[in-house]
Amino acid sequence: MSYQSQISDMSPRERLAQRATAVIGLLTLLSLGFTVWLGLFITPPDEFMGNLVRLVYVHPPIAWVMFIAYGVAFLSTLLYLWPRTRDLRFDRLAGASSEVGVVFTGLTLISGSIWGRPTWGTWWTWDPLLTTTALLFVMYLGYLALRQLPGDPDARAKRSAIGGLIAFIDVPIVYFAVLWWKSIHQAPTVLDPLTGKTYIHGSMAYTLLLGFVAFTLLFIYLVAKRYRLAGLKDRYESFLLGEAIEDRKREAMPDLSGVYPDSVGNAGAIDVPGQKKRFSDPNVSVGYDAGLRPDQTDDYQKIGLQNNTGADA
Amino acid sequence: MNPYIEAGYISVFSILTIYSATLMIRIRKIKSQIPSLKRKKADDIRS
Repeated sequence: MSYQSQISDMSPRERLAQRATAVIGLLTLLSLGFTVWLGLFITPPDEFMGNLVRLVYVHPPIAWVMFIAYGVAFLSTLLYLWPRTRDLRFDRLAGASSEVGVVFTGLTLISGSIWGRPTWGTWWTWDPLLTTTALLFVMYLGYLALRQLPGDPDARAKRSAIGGLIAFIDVPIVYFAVLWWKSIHQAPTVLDPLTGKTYIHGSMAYTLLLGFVAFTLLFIYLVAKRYRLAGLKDRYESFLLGEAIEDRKREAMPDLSGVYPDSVGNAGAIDVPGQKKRFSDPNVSVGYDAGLRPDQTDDYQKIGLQNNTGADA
Repeated sequence: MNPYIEAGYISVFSILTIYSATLMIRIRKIKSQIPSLKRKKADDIRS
């Protein structure tokens, strides 16, 4: 495929993906708007936490998206590493999902800290859950840094995949931290992973559920955009690489402009080595690279090439 | 309204807005570079 067609033509599938992303973006805006409206103005205050409970419509959905993001990145990494499904698109998806995951991990830490100050009396404490979450944030930052290192795309993808698998080890530790260790953070109240019980009801439950849906849609939208950006960047880089290779080829060949005009009027211009399309005359044997006819003895001598066409020079 | 709630909502949605806007800008920027490359390539082919 030529570089031009690579970068200019958008397939119907890509166009469909673009439209789907736009629809998801619209749904995300609507659902987030409703979540904020319900969460701030409609739902009642909590019996114990008062109005602070309104942060529950944001903080747990953000943490949920963080887990989804790393889960998607992990699955994509496995699919990339599996020889039968190896494709750089999975590597791209892992990178996109991890980056969004890092943003949501940062938001989890920030919103949790803001919630912790009035409820625990501190912005930060070295609690197992908080500490492992901070560690997760740093590990995936390292993973994103690893992805930026230069190198062959496949080698870079393999290197990143290994980094991604190592970083993922911390994800289940974060999830079960409140159950495994004594923590200042409350145990799961939305849905207990062990008993399956839920401790939130009525309009608060519906608003929270909407929050989960809204932030999940936002995750899909952001990953789609980040994935597209990665795809465009890859195309752009491959285009630049192709240009650089062609420039080097041109530099490596002697300038034969004007040596021999072919039958369509092009002066003996050089394309790339190995291409045998310089003469449109079917009677001419083209087993050479210099762009000359066999009978052009003087021209051969002029540029210091040997006549290897089999004809007498 | 409680300042902690305000701070929580504002910080979360500000960061998300900034991140989304950054993505959009980066996509637009790279898309704007591609047509100039296409023109350059077409000029190279013609010349």
